Amino acid sequence: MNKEKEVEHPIIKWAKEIADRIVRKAEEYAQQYLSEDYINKLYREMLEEEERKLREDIEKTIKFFDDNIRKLKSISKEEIEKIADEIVEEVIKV
Amino acid sequence: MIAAEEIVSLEKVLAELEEPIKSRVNDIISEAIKKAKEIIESRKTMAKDKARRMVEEEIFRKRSLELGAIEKKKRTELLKAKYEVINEIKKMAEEKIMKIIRGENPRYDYYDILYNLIKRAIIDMEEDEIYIYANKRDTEFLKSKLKEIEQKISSELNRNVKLHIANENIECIGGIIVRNRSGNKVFYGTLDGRLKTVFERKINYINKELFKKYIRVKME
Repeated sequence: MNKEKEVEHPIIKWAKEIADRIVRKAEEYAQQYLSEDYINKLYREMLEEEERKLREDIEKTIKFFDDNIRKLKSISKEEIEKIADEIVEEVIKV
Repeated sequence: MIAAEEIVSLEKVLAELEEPIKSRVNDIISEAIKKAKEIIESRKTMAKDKARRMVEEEIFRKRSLELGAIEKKKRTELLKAKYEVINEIKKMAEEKIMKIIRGENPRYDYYDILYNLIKRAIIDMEEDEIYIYANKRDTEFLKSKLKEIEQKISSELNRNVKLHIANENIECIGGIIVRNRSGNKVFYGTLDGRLKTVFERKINYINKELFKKYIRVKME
């Protein structure tokens, strides 16, 4: 039970102190990432990117609908007349 | 962070140490550096998550407002363009029917159309005596041809039919409405009504077949 307590090499002890300091300093250093300024900076960058995507989507949407409208307006008179003729045939066919 | 001189002195000390101690010191420092990196990364991730949540909220609102408004406006314009095509077809069909009624289309004889409508009414209603309602112009015309029509239908159906032309006129571009003597059976054969029915049926085809040829359904 009364085992001789293992004595830690002073270099190991020193290394552990250094290790503690490394971790502590990292914690201090990392605090900047939780600051309002840093978060706001990230927010602005991300928002800018998302707004760019939104503008692209708006342009795509406008183009999609405008293309469709233009195509509808390009339907030929002949095609319209053909359907009108079919309707007339059905109306008078008794 | 740790000063550069400290790292240099640490390296000097390590170089002079016995291998097991050197290895242990290396492990302790490596572990600490690893933990430090994790701490920094985790704070960065927390910051990014917070900023992303704020952006998502903002962009969701903007998308709903801006993209929603554009979509609504463009959808209305597309519907208007579709309506214009449908309207053009309807207008053209109406004009063609009016030409037939006025006798301006040599392919069709309006008299034959009226005759066939009367005959169809007699067959469908299973009546031998009927009352025919038409617009003012067709009423006059039918009155002048009454006997001829009566004889022709009687002969074709091989039974005696009795036709009456009602004195009241109906408002329509052409065609007829027919009732039996008691009025409990009615045949609707106005060209307006027939055009409406056929057109409503055709709208489905126009939407599914005609517009499909021209319209892209999905955005790229």
